[in-house]
Amino acid sequence: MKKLDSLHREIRTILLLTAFFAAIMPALSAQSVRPFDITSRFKLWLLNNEARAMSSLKSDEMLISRVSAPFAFMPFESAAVAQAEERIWAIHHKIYALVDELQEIYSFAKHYGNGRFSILFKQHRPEIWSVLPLQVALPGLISVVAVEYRKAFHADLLKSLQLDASRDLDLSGRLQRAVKKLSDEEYRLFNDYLGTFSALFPSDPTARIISAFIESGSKKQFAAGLKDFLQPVFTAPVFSDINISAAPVEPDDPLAELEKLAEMSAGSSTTPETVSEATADADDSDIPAQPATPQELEPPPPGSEDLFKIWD
Amino acid sequence: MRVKTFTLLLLVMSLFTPVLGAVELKYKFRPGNVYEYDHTVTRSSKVAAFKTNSSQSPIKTSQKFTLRAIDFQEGAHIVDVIGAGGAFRRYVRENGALSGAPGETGESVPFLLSFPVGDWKVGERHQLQQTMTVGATSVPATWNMLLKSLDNDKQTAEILFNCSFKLPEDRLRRKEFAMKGRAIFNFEQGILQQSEWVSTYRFIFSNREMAVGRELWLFEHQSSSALTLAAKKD
Repeated sequence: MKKLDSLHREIRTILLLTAFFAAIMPALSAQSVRPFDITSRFKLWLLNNEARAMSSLKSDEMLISRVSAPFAFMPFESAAVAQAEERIWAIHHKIYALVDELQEIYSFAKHYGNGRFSILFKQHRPEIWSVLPLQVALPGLISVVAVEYRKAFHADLLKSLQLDASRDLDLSGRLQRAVKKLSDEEYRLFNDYLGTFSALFPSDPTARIISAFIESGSKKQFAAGLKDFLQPVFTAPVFSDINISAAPVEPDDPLAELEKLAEMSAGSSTTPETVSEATADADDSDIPAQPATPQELEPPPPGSEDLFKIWD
Repeated sequence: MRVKTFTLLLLVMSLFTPVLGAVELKYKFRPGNVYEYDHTVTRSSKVAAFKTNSSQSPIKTSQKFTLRAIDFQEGAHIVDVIGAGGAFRRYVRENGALSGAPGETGESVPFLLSFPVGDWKVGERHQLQQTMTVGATSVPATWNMLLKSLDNDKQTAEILFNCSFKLPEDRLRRKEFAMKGRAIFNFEQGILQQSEWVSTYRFIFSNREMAVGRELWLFEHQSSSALTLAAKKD
């Protein structure tokens, strides 16, 4: 009987462990995938081809060197010289740098370009909450130190998000600068590789997305709403303003524009069904209506179909 | 009538005797002698990727090396090869084959040219075969040699040679390699006076997915070498 209980316990343990690992496996595997990845497959394709060509070149060179000194009385070693392919590898190195830069710009635009993060941050205002004790204890001091405190907090925030105000203020400009690091000939080769990738793998949109991103991103300004987030104007907070439920917008708030944008967009894009549901919920409860987190922002300008859904 | 025919035949044979000559080519390094050689290699290359071309203009490297003949033991000349990379002792058989290289233990010895043992007739071919191995790759290689002519006045033999082997290929990689050269050997002194050889390598790397094929890169390498006896000191 004891043996049966022990067996049941073991089976239960095994089942629990299996269920646990089955539950966490998707999360673990998701960690290895880069969010908003548009370049990895193309980059890996080029890297793999390059590696295979390099391997063949070296292997062949070693074989050829076995007949390059055909007489037994001469030194066998030969001086290495630079080969023409090294220029191609150097161009590839620049292409990899461009592709990484494109990925970074794209990820940045996808993460922050729609302004949702900024709005969320603005709504919770951690930098203001954190000075509340100071406001209570030393109200006279707050006007002196609050601005510097907010500046420092904002600088640390950007740093922790790996953002650089001077670099990311103009993403189109950053994209153009990245592309201009390649000469015309190098860019033509890059385009040839993109075309070849699309021809070889017609069902894989990677190369087409990269091409379209460069083309459209270089022409129009995108994620422009982040200007105030990256370069805000700081003033000391007013105690009465620190009220999440009311959430008044400070005139100098760095995210005010984005918030306004979000409210406008949320109001205009809410479907009738959701409006009626929200009204019904509000009627049923005594809780005052809270401004909902915006679901939709302003759509892309007409005529500029955004392949990357930066605004969705 | 028979005498006339016989005489005519003798005359014809005597005319062709130099052409049909034969000689045994043997290295005869004399112990105590020092031989100085100049070895020049000129390499160039180019690569094409779609419409992008890159070429490396010819780069010439020259090195001198000295051969010190020390002794002849057990059918092999004991020589020290002194070059930029250091001094290496070699045991070289009379036909040019290597019987030992104690200073280069562990290193892969090249596939070397060696002469046939015994008389080698003008116009006669001589072939050497070896399987060359690099990593997991093994390639059968062949040296083809031809004694083209003998110059009895200068006591030299002109030898033509080429090397052929098939580099590993697959559906993504197409390769060509060719090497050919010429050597002048002084059969009286038993030393190589001069040699030139050139090699060309061509490698096309492509991608193929289903029915779509695209050539990505074309690599071409050329190399020409010259080996000349600069001085011989007793």
